[in-house]
Amino acid sequence: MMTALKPSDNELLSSMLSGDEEAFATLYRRLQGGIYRFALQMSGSAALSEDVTQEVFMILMRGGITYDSSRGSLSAFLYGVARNLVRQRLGREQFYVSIEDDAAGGTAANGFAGSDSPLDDLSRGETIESVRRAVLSLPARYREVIVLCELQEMSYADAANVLDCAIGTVRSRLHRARAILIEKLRPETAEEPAIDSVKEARCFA
Amino acid sequence: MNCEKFLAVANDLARNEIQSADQDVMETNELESALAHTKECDSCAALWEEERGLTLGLRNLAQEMSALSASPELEEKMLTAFRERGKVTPIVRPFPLPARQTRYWLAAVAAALLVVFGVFLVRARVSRGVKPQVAVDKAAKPESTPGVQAIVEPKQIETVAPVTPPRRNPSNRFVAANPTVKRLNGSTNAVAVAPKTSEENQTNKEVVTDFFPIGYGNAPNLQDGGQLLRVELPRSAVARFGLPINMDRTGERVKADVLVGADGLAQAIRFVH
Repeated sequence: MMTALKPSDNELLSSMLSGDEEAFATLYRRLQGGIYRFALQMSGSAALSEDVTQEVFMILMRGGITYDSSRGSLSAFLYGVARNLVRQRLGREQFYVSIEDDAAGGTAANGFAGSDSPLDDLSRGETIESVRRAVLSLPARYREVIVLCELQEMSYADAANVLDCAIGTVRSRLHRARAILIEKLRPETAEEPAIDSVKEARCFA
Repeated sequence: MNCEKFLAVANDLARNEIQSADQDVMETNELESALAHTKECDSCAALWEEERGLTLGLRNLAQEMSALSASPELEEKMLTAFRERGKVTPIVRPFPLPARQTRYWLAAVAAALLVVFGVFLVRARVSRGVKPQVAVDKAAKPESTPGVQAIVEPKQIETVAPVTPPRRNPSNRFVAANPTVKRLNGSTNAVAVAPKTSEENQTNKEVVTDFFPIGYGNAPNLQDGGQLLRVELPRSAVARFGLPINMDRTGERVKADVLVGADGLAQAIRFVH
């Protein structure tokens, strides 16, 4: 009953564009977290994420009219804007990821354990940090799908809408991204059969 | 299900197991079949464990970051920006046209100026450097005149423009500038233009006789216009008009100016030395 009273994003947008500050505040509070986290997971930089979040909502404030509700949800539209901004910023400040890659030695060793080295042996914090570094070290097109589909828990259709590509492309990129992550997170002492199986899996990607 | 098919769905299998029920990415039959395959195949079971571990790791990361959001200061800044959005005075452009359109207009004006300047240059060059164009009136050829052999040198043909004012007609300008051209003033008396070049000086050194009428032509006929043609004749032709000739040079030719009327008939002749 309460959810029925909750205005949709599109309704809030209409009110906001007509000058309703409360509608803008509601919309901002509803969507800023996802946008901020997306930028943070993509870049690894809190400062850049704040900038991107601010820019996204400034664009919405100035040119929210360009949003076409028939093409997708408002959140997908804003994620798309954020994605473009992050890519632009990372293009200019591409040292973020590469320096971290170098520091990690190109892999996130000891971060992920397979069946023979259970995750229970590692502290949860270490695992999370290893996964975060592994995600940040992915190429941008694979990082996008991991962030959207795995971390933001978006459906393939929504992710395809954000990335402006086909659902099949999202699936194949996700498959490949996961294979790379497994390879990065696998301990160097892992047994050969497991490596072979992953390599085999990548052949079908 | 075989290993190849399992590898293709391993991602979805891991996602499906951990994601909530409303985000199922696999059908139930396929899910059960894939899980059954992991019990039969060790390598696929190992892969399955890795996929599960990765999905769990990603899920933990997502949960860890789920509390993160932009700073409250940013919200304040955004709300302030929203309030001040309406207060922003619109920027008045110095030119009402869009920049792209203005550029087109500027380019068009520049092109027009170039064309005008080019035309001006061409006209100036033409008026300065045009070589004399000789109008040859076929009707005025000297064949119609008996006793005159037609050896006509185009450079020596003089065009006489009788009526039109010299400033507006380019050919008349030429007549005024060309020393070999003489203008008739309604009579058989020729008015020579003042010499300016060596060629003109040479022309001025020529000694000419008076005009001798030919046939029934007379001076008033030339009021309608005419042409002065420079021709070469046998020296014996000089004797026909009662002039003395050197018998030793009878084989040579002598220059003469034939005055041709508007009707194409030779009106008079003079000899040139």
